[in-house]
Amino acid sequence: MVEVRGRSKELLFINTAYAVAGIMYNIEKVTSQVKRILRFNGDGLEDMFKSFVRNLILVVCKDHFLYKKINVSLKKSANEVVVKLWGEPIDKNKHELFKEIKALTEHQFSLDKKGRIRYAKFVVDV
Amino acid sequence: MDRVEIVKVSDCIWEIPKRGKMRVPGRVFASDELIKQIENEQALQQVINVAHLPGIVNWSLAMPDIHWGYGFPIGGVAAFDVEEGVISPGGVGYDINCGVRLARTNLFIADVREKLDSLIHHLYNNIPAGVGSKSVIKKLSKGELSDLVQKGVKWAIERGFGSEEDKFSIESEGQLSQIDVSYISETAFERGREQIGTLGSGNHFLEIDVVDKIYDKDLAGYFKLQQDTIAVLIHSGSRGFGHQICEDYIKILSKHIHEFNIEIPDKQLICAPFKSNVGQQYFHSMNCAANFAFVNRQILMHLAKQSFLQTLGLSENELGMELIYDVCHNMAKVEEHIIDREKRNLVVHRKGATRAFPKNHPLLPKKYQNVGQPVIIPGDMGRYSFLCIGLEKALEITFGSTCHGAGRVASRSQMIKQMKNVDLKKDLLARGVVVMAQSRNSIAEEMPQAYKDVSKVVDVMENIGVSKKVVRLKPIGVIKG
Repeated sequence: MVEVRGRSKELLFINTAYAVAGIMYNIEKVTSQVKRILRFNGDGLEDMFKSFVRNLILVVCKDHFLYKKINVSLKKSANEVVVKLWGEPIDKNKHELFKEIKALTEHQFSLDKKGRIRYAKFVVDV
Repeated sequence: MDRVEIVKVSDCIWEIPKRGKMRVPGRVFASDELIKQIENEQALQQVINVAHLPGIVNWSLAMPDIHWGYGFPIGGVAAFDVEEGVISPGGVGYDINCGVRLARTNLFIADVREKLDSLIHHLYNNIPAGVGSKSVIKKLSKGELSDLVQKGVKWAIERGFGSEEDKFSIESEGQLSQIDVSYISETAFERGREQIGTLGSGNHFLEIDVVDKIYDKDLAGYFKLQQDTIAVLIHSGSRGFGHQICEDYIKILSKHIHEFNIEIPDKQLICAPFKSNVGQQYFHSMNCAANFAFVNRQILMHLAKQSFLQTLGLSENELGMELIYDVCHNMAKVEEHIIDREKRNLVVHRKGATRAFPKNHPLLPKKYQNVGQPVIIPGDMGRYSFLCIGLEKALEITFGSTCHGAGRVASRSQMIKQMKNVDLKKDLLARGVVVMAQSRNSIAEEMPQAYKDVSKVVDVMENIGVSKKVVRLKPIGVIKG
């Protein structure tokens, strides 16, 4: 179970990205040489969040790109997520790789808000 | 967590009585010792949840290696009527046709002992594994990948990965015919293009084993296995291709479920009537992923063979590597079964369970008609695995199914904490096992302490007459992602 929190929706997304990266590789050994931009839509916050996690998994496992820095903007009117990633392609000699995340599951998934803090709980298949 | 009511029916057979909206009772196969562990898990609630699904026949079953999974428990078997029942991606699992294959060789322990380190290094360098691994085959085009999933293992054999004979040692001859690539997303294709012939990570492995105990000399002889024979055991599946298909269809089916008026107690039990358009789309896509997995394991075995030949300087004849069998662990298959003395077509979901057909079953290859289906049950990397065969009773009480492994008792995160101060490679070496893996954690998560003792699991299935032990295999070398 991955549990993340953030003081805003954007920070919740960013902290989630670091949690997901931490499962797959050692972020300290990655440099931010290359910039990538992802754009996608979701039907409401939950869908946007799930698409966000799924896109991060694909960036690493399909595109072999490790991110070090991340910026997220949520365009509520269009239900659009714009993600800027800075990182570099996987180099097995340089990077410390842990494990593959294969999928985000629906099991015990939750998004919550208590006061000003937002929380996410989810399970990934490794 | 509420305690689940469970009643002993007979030795090693337990029943969860039908209550509430359950359509059938649950059945759990376990010894008195194993049931105590199982009772403390959420997995029994998952057995109950599965019993709520439409068209389920007789029981929602749990093998003794049952543990918590997403929606369906791992170690769960459920059969649904083809006309009235459902198909569920959660009942198959994310890693569609995750499975194992076992190959024997002409070698004995004495032939490899001195070169074991080099052999494991060679295998580790030759077999892509873990995050970011790429196939030894050039990136396939979408057309090439479509061709691969249509032909199944024939695709690999045509390209020199293995021999014609191999297909007769693979469940469904390594090629399921009810497929349609047009139902598969571009993302799934993208994920699959570079992953054919890669081991993956998590609990996937390639292991060098030695036969250390023989239970049935005649059957062992039939499989050309003797005391101290070296064998290779491979555990892998359909990689990102299968995962993406599962994920896509959980999403697609979630949008359609209201059309079918199906109530599900857990989102991960999302399903559709088998005969509905969307149910058929998933079934045909799932079969594509299954064919991908058959090809994947075929290529992995070829790569392993190359490592043996090169490291040990042997000819193919001297090595004599031959596939004994390749079985699926995560699948839904349409099979004919006798229910209340009538032949019925059922969609049998096995999630973390192995088909175990007895001798003379029409779906068995000719060479196993007189002995029964080989059933390969991997344990953990420190103890042992088993080669068994399916028996007649399996058709009566488990829809022709048996266990698939040891079953976890500790989560991955628990194991990482528990193994924090342990020299893992040294610990395994003391057990006579050389291991190489991409990261320390991938060893820690899979240490023997994470699993039940597989011999206790296999014994339950033998006690109830479902499958029978032939040989025990002890790992001596392991590579992991």
